[in-house]
Amino acid sequence: MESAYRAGAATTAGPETASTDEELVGRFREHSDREALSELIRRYTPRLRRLLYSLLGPDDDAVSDAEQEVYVSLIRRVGSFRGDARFSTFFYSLARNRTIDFIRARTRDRAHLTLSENPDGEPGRFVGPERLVDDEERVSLVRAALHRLAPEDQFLLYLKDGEGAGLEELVEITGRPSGTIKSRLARARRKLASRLEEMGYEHE
Amino acid sequence: MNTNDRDRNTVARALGELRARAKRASQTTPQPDVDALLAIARAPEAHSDARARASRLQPRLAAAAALAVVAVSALLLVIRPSAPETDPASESIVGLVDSLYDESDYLDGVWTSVLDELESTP
Repeated sequence: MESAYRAGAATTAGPETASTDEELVGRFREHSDREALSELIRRYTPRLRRLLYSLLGPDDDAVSDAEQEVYVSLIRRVGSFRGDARFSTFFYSLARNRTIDFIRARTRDRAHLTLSENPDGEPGRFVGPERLVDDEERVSLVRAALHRLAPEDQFLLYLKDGEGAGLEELVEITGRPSGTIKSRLARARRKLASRLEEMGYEHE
Repeated sequence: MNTNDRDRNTVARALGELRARAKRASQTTPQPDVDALLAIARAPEAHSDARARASRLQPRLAAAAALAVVAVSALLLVIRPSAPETDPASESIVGLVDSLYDESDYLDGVWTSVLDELESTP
């Protein structure tokens, strides 16, 4: 697939703090304003990358591919954004769909690997406390434990406990009832905490 | 501190570490090229790899989800009339699906369907 990433490439628009996200969307949708799109991407790239690196990392290629898919999806579907919800909600809905696609694809691909071929982050691999010698290993362990949850649970738990999203926001992003979100979060949190403990995770 | 609070603190700290690491990693990646994104977006959608992957996966998910929904619905019909307010039936179903899910991530769709079924059952 053609890639939108290349060394040194950067958005050329400077910060445009005067316009809201919704105004930028309107300019891009109605006037094909490239600078408006550029500014939106500049604003949303940091948070999107945190999400993707957390759920798809540390594979840079997977993160870049997923990020590209999210933005291509945004450009294609921006016409369906009517401003009755915040743009961030619309954006995270797109990000959710693409991210879950990639998580499922990764899960399927990994099913073909043996343990020795995929030593890092292999689901269920026990790592004793003595192995957790630095930040990188601890983060790898957190990622491996998180990746064992259902794809949507990974997404929900990361947004809620990692980024501090509110329940109402998650309801809007997923379109699921709040009770479903709450039960999924509680269950996912319990599972993740239990797996972290089994794998010897201790916060330093 | 009760178990829920302890779990919540552990998970919040762990995800905080993961987020901080993700933030550092993301800062070393080049910014997206807006013109290239616009060009890709104008190309036919059928070339999307992820979409192709998702469409290959869909029939398996749909079949598994349909099977599970039928099974859980039948189970609910049998158990629900005598279930007390605390609803141990739901817990049993959660446990059942948990064990199924551990067998395969493809069952995410099943879990979602079960939760939705439980949510919509009076």
